[in-house]
Amino acid sequence: MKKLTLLLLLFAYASLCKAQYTLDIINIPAKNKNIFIASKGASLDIIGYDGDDIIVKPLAPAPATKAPAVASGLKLISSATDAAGSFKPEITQKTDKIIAINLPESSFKDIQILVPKNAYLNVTFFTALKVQSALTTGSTRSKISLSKLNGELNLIGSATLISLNDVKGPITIDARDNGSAMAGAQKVIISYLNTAKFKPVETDKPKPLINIIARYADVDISLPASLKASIKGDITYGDLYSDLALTPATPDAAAAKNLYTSNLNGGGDIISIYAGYGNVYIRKQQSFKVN
Amino acid sequence: MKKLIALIALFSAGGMSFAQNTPFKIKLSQPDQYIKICMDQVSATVTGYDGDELIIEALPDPNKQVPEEAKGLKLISIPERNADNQVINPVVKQYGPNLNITIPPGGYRYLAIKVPKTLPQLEVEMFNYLSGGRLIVNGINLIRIRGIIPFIKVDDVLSFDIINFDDWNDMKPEELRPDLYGTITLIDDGKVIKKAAAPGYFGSTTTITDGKVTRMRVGGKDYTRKKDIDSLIKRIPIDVVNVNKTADTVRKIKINGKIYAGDDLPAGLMTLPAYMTIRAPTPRSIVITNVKWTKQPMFINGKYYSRYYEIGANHADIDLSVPDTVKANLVFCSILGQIYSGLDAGAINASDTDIKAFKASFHLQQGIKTIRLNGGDSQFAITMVNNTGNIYLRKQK
Repeated sequence: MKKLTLLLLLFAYASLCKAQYTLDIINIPAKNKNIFIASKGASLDIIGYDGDDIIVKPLAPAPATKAPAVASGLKLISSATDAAGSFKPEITQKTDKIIAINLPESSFKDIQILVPKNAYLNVTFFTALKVQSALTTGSTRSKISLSKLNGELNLIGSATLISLNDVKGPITIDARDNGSAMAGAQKVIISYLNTAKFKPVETDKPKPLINIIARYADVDISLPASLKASIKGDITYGDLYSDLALTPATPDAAAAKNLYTSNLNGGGDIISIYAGYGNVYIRKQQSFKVN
Repeated sequence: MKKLIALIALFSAGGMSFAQNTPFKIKLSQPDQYIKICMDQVSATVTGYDGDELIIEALPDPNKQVPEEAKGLKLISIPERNADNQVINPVVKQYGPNLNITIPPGGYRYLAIKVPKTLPQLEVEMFNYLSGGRLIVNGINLIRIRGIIPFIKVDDVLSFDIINFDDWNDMKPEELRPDLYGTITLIDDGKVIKKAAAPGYFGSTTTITDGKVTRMRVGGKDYTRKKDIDSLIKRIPIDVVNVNKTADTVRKIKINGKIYAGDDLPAGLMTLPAYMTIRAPTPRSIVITNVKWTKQPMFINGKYYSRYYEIGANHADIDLSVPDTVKANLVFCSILGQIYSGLDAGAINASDTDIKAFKASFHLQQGIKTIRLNGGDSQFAITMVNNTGNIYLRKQK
C-alpha cells in the first residue's frame, strides 16, 4: 500500500512537471493565409519554410541565470522569480484569408514558429522578460527574430532586440512605446535584405520598402550596395553612420532640423527610419547571414 | 552687492534666458539657497568646488565614444545639427531665496557644472533617454536627484535622496489618474489656467475637461453621468492649476499635504516627463560611494538640515557601498530583482520600525529586508527600493 501511495505521488509529481513544461508541437494549417501572431512574455524565433502549416514549438526553458559580473564577491541574499503558467496558444480563424494565433504569457519564454515563407505576417509582441531566455545572450533580455521570409512583414511591439535576416519586405517595424522599460527595444537589426524578388508596390502613395519607428532603439540595417533607394530619416538625438554611397537629396518638405534625406543609386524604394534617441547605422550588405 | 540685488530682482520679475557659448555663471546671493537645475537629453558632471559662483558650461563630451557598431562606417552629418554647437540657453527663475535653472536641450550632449562647496542643498532634475546618458555628482552637501537617467554616480556627499523613475503611463491632463488620496496641484510657472475639483481614490481614472470632471473609471467601468460622478466624489479634491501648454502634457504635480495610495507619501514636488511612457536604454544603474554617513545633526553655514539616505528606482540597479564602521539599518526591497551583499551582517525580515522608516519614503512592499550594520540603529535608516533592478550592497574600501 505504501508503495502504491508512493507510486501515485510520483505519478502526480510527474503529471505536475509535464503540465509545467509540455514541449508539444502545434501544427496549424495556414495555406494562403495572412498570419497574425500575438505574443506576450516570450522571445520568438519565426522562420519561413516551404510548408503550408504554422508550426509552433515551445523551447526548453533556459538554465538558471548566472549572477551578473558586478556581483562578483557578493552573495545572493534575496531573489524574486518569474510567475509561470501553462502554454495555451489560442488559434482563431478570423476569415478565409486570416488566421490569428495568440500566445499568452506562460512558463515558456522561448518559442520557435515555422510559417509558410511567402505568407503575409503580422506580429505583435510584448516581451517584458526579467532575465535572459534561451534565445538571448548578453544584456539582451528578449528577442524577436524573423528569417527566411518573402512576404510582407508588420511588427508592432517591444523586445530588447528585434532582428530580421533574409527577409524581403515590405517591412514595417513599430517599436515606439512598449509598456515597460525593461522590454524597451534597444536595437532593431535588418542584417540581410533579399531584394532579388522585390517589386515595389504600385499605389498612389508608394509603400516604403522599410519603415522603422523606434523611439529609443538603435537601428542597424544592411542594404545591398546596388539597391536603388530613397532614405528618409528622422534622427532626433542620435548619430547616423554609413559606408554606403549616399547622396543628399531634396526633401519633400522644407528642410527641418534632424531630418535627413538621401538617395542610394539615384533613389527608388523608400526607406523610412524614425529613431528618436538611438543611433542609426546603414551599412553595405556583405554576405548572407543566418541567425 | 547692488548689482546682485538688481539681478535677483530681474529673476523675480519672471525669469531670464541666457543664450551663450561661454560658461554661464551666477553668484549665489546667500549661503542657504536651494538650487534646482533641470536638464533634458544631456549628460552632466556636477562637482562641488571652492568658489562662490555656480558655473555651467557645455563642453565636448569627454566620454563620447564611437560605438562599436560604427566601426568601418562614416559619421553622416544631419542637417541643422552642428556638433560643435555648445550654446546653452539657461532660464533662471528666482523663488524667494531659491533658484530654479532650466537648461533646454540643444546641440550639446554634456554639461560641466560647478557648485560652491558651501551650497547646502542641490536638486538635479534630468530626463535623459540617450544610450550612455549619465549624471555624475561629486563633493555636494545634500543632493536630491529626480528624473530618468541611464546611469547615476554619486560620490562624496553628506546626504542623498534619489528617485530614478521611468515608466509612468501616459498622463495627459485629460487622462490624469488620481489613484491617490490627497491634494494634487498641477503647476506650470505658478500661473493658474485650469482649476477643477476631482475625486481621487485608489483604482480610479478621472477625466478632466475644461476644469470639470467628465468621466470616471472605477473598477473597470466608466461613469460619465453627473449624478454618478457626484456620488463618486467623496475623497480629496485635485486642483488642476495648470498644464504644459506646448506638449499638452502634465509636467509637474505638486503634492500638498499627504497623498494616500495605500501608503503615505510625503508632501513635495514631483516632476513628470512630457512623455510618460518612457523606455530609456538599459543597463541602468545608480552607484553610491563615499557618503559621509552619520545620523548626527547636520549644520551647514550654521543652519540645520535634515539628512536623507534614500534611493528609489524602478528598473535601475542600485549599487551602494557602506563602510563597515557605520552603525545603521539598511532597509531595502527589490520587488522583482535580486539582492547581493558583501556585508558581514545578514539580511533579516524588516521590523515594524524599519517598515515605518521605509514607508516614510516609499510605497509599502512585500519582502522588505533589513541588514543591521554593527548591531543596527533603528533611528538611522538607509532605505532603498527598486522593481526589476538588482541591489548590490558592498563594503566600502
